[in-house]
Amino acid sequence: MQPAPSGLVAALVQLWARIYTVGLPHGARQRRLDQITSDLWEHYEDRRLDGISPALINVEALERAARGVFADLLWRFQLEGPQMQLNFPLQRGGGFCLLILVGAIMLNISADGYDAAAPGFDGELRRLAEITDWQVQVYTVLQVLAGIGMIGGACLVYVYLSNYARVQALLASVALAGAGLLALVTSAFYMVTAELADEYVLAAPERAESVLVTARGSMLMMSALIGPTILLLAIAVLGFAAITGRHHLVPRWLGFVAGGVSLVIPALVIAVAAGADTTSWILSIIGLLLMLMWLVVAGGWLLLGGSRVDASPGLQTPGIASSSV
Amino acid sequence: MRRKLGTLIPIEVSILTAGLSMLRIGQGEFHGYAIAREIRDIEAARKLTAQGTLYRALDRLESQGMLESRLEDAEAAAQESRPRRRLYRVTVQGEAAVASAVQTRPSGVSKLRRGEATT
Repeated sequence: MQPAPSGLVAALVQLWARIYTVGLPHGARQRRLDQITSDLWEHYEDRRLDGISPALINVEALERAARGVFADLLWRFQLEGPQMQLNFPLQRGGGFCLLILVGAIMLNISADGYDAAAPGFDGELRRLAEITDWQVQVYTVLQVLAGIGMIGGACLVYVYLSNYARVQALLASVALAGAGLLALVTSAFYMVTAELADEYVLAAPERAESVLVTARGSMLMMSALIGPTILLLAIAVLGFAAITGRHHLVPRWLGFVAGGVSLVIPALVIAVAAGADTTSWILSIIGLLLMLMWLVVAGGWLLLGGSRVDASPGLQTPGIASSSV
Repeated sequence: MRRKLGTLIPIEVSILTAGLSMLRIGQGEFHGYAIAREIRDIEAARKLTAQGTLYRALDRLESQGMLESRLEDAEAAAQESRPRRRLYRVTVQGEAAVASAVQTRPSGVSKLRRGEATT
């Protein structure tokens, strides 16, 4: 195994190289990845010997990679021409996206771990202030990645499923992309609330009250976004379930799981409207578990290639072995 | 716009010029980062050529026969505990092309000093 440059920036640059070379023939991809790995290593080593601080080298490396992004994309495009050949099966990509969604959903709902009720909010804010800046940043980055992942996943799942049912795939993908956007907004509110929590702890008593009110407003917005996000995710999952079920792309029994989700949603809406907190909480958990179960099984099934070729007449099955876009 | 076959753009002239400059000091072969550093020094630029620009140009020059490359021996890299380098060498064709480019565009030398091309 080759020694590789370490650190977050080096990892990001290498991740970018992996992204823009995805689907290329192995030789071409490996060649570019090797070039980047070697270049990064030489860059860090050379600048370290120049006596430059590691932080500055990181900035240089990131800026240097960022300046080349357009050329990277041009290189990729010109390598293959307008008829870009994706040498990876879309089916597996779709399955991978569904599995990524599981993590994204878990991350998204975990943002709701704070009680925004007025009594005792002071304690919640102090609890939030105890979290280190580093932890807040990591959590925010993960949230942002989850949001971007949902939007990217929506695109890829659409490309995969639109060959089976274009309109349904579009609706489900738009719902998923919408959930991704809401996740991004939630992450912004989380960061704001965390900043305000720090400010609250340090603020003079006469100013603390206004900070508390603002922070609670931000927290309430964050909590209010969780419901619509989950609802959009449920719509997306139901849409994907309908298409994959109808075309036998996933095990037949998963239809019952999706059916369970579709039953839970109206019941949940009624329970929320009736103000039955305990019932709505139980229904939310059941709905969420069913949704996650569907995503894990369907994602794993597609990723591992367990599906069968659809038998619908005249349908060109996309990306079972390879697919071109 | 598609450029004419064999026409060099500034970053390619910079690479070939830097490669020949390294050849003159006894380094017939160079790796990607080394050429980026050489270009920066020759052109008194503040920044190193971006990786995307550099490796795209290197690949293009190689496909046009102006450079040739090889992966260095795994042992040499292992001894220095670093990733293997892809080593490039300017070919006779590359040498002729850069000489021709400089001759036909004498005023372009100053342009070359600006650094990266955008095409």
